[in-house]
Amino acid sequence: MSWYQRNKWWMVRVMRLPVDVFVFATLAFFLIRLLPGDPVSVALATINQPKTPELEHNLRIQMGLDGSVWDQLLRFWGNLLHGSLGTSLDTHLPVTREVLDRLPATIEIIMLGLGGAFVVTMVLGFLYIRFANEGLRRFIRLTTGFATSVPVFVVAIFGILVFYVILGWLPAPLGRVASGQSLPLVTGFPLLDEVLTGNFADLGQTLLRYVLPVGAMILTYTPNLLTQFVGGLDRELAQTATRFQVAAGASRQWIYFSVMRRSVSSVVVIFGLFFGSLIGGAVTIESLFGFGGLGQLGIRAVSTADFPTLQGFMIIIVVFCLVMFVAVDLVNMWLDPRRRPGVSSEES
Amino acid sequence: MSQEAFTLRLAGVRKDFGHRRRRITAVQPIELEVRSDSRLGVIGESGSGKSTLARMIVGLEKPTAGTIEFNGRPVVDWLSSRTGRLEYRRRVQYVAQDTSSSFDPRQTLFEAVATPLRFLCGVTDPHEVRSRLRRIADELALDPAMFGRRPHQLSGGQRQRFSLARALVVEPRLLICDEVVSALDVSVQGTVLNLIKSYVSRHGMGLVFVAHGLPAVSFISSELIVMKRGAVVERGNVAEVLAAPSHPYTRELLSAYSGPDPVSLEAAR
Amino acid sequence: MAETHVSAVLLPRARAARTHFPWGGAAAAFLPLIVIVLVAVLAPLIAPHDPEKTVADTRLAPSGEFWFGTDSVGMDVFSRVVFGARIAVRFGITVAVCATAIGILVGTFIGLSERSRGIQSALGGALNRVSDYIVAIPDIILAIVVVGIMGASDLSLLIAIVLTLVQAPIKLTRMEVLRVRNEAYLEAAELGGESRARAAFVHVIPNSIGPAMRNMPLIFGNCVIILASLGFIGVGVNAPTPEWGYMISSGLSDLMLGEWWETVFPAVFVFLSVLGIAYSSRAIPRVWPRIAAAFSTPSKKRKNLA
Repeated sequence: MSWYQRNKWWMVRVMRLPVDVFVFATLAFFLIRLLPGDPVSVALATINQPKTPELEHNLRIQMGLDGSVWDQLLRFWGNLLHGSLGTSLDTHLPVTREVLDRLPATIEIIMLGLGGAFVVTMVLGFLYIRFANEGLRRFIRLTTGFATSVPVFVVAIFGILVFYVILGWLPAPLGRVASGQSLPLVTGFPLLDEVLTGNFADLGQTLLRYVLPVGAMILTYTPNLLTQFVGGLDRELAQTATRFQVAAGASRQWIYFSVMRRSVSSVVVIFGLFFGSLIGGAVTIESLFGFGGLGQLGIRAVSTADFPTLQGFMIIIVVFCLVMFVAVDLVNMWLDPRRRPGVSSEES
Repeated sequence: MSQEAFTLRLAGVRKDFGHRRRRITAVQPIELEVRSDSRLGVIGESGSGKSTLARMIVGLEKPTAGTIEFNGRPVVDWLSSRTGRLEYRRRVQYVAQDTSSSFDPRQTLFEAVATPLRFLCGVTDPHEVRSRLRRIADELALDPAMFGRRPHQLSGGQRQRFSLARALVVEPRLLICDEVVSALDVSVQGTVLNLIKSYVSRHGMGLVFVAHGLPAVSFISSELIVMKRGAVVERGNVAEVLAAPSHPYTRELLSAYSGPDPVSLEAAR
Repeated sequence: MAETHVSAVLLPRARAARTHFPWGGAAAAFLPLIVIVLVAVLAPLIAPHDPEKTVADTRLAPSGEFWFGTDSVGMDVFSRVVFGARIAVRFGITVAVCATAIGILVGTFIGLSERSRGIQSALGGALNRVSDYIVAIPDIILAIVVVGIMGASDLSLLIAIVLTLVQAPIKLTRMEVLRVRNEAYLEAAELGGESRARAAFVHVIPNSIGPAMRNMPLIFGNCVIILASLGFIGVGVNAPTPEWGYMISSGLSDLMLGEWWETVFPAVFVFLSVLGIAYSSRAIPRVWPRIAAAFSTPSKKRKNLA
């Protein structure tokens, strides 16, 4: 097999991404314009000025809503090729900058929550196959009963009630560092920036303030992951391959490792499906803990009827999701070669 | 009861499935004529193209090449307009092998059998619908009380007789039977075959009977074509073909049926 | 595929002799849903005070008179929480019905268009791709954008939530239609002179709505979650309306000062109702076959089937 054939599976998947991005951006363009209601009149309603036709006309041009839909589409595509999604009406900054400034902090929260839930799932999954007793199974079955999207902010509120209001163990949910201080800005990922600038006092503060939000996310998302993982473990344990390993006298450790490795893909699969609700959850968590971020930007854009920001906001977030889908797919194909496209046709 | 005559003519009809490289010819160019008094049996192993032939005649498949004409007008033409389609369907009806899905599980058999009556014959008056259903039930020896049932409450043989009722209730001129008895018990096969044979001769209508078993075909039809891999390898009068098969495949078929056949079993009862 | 279909058809008959309506199972499965809907319907009878009026001093702790205390403008938290169920149920039912109905129609259209020819096929394929992409938009983000463009109103919230939640019934119905379209009774319908449109509505839709219908409680639950989340971040229903998410966020600053009741009670109600609906949406599909069997038990005058 040539290098190309061996690596085709991931190259094809990665190359599809720009196409997906382009198609989605175009779809978003139409979706937004097909909604009933006129953003210009919504924006006019928020402005405390006499409403003149001139004002309306200027607003329309600022929003990029002048001319026919096809004119708008051509302009939109042209800007898209230059990586531009327009300028915010509110701050007059490029929309891409507005969103990308805030995205890393949100990603950090999501990654901590998801990573934490993944680790907890792996540990519980290992316990599940290592100590396969009835009590543990019952506990895990009970946990999976909660495997729905109980809103993460509700869980976080119970956390705040217990650990801040009643026990007073954790700091108030009012930002990443104590009020009056500001975060260093290098990459946009708060924890990373604090490490990079050697701000270890702040790092400690931020970590402490992350305990509740990340804990709430772990608590909310673990049951979902665990349901999938335990299902995968049950399937894999019953597989002939596993029985063969046992019969062939493989060591216990090796069998555990092998079964876990084969079941991980069942968890990774739902990462993809899960990402949307994770972003939604992160938005509410940021709002609850005063972290600013994407949610704040979206709410500001809603209250000022900032059309270009809303459009760019949605497109960039979905592009981020599409990138994550590719990552999830690639990890999955790497873990489980059967999922690679074209594998079966190579064999036949 | 209209006894109008008809002619169905197939000229150079061919059917291919698939695209380009994976193209398979299901039916080789075939010439065929079916008249109001024809009892045509089509026999062949599975995959010989006999079902595709039947389905092309009723318009469930479109021929790749060639024309099928009914009374001098191409079937494609009949089916292109709404009125033409309804007229064609009223004259040519089709019954397929019984499967659990040959009736909508949510409808009663009454609704299922009344539907073609309503759309093809325009019979909507409840009294007339009921009397037509009673008549067809009579002719096919069905218990009219069973019209109130749903398909899953019937046995395969009963369901197949209701399929026949659904096709025959519009009094078609030509009936196409595609493996109608293949899925049934041997004893039930005889009953159904007898019903079809007597109904067809009573109403003086045409019949195309597709099956893979020789006994059923020889019992019910007067002419016979034998198909193999999409091509007609033998055709002629049933008695003549049975007496002197010319193609080795026909001989093979004949020798495979030396055992008791369902029709003689039925006759012996 | 065929096998599951056969067993679904045959099982009720096999058990028909002793099929009774499964009262216990059905009651347990539907109970959480029924309780929530009852609270919503009877809210004016249950709530002792007007939910949108100041009825006492601000921030009173829970007491015999004000069971859940009062909030920062002196409205009765208990009445507001009870009326909050009304908002949630009203949205939940509207969204579930709209999303399921639209999803069934669109899903049927997509399913029937696949492998057909011409403009219908192109349109169906395009709709299918659009649905794939909309699934990729996080629900809260989509709702924020829709509300931002249309302005905050019940209608914009409804459109936003339906747009996200309609995708599941579309996909579920499409899968079923792809199965049903190969059934022999559709050919029989064509031979019986039924038009395609009639066949779609009489045969295809009734035989493929099952999964989408059973998905309805799930849509209801998701709607409650999205509505509360939107209310919480401040993009939901307008201010004095007793909506759970909005109540939680407006009580937050008091929570920090130890006045927990304004926030915690609505949070508990969101939590309980979401879990209850989730329980129902899992339990209903489990008891459904038995309920359906009880209804389709053949009549007493079963004759010999030989």
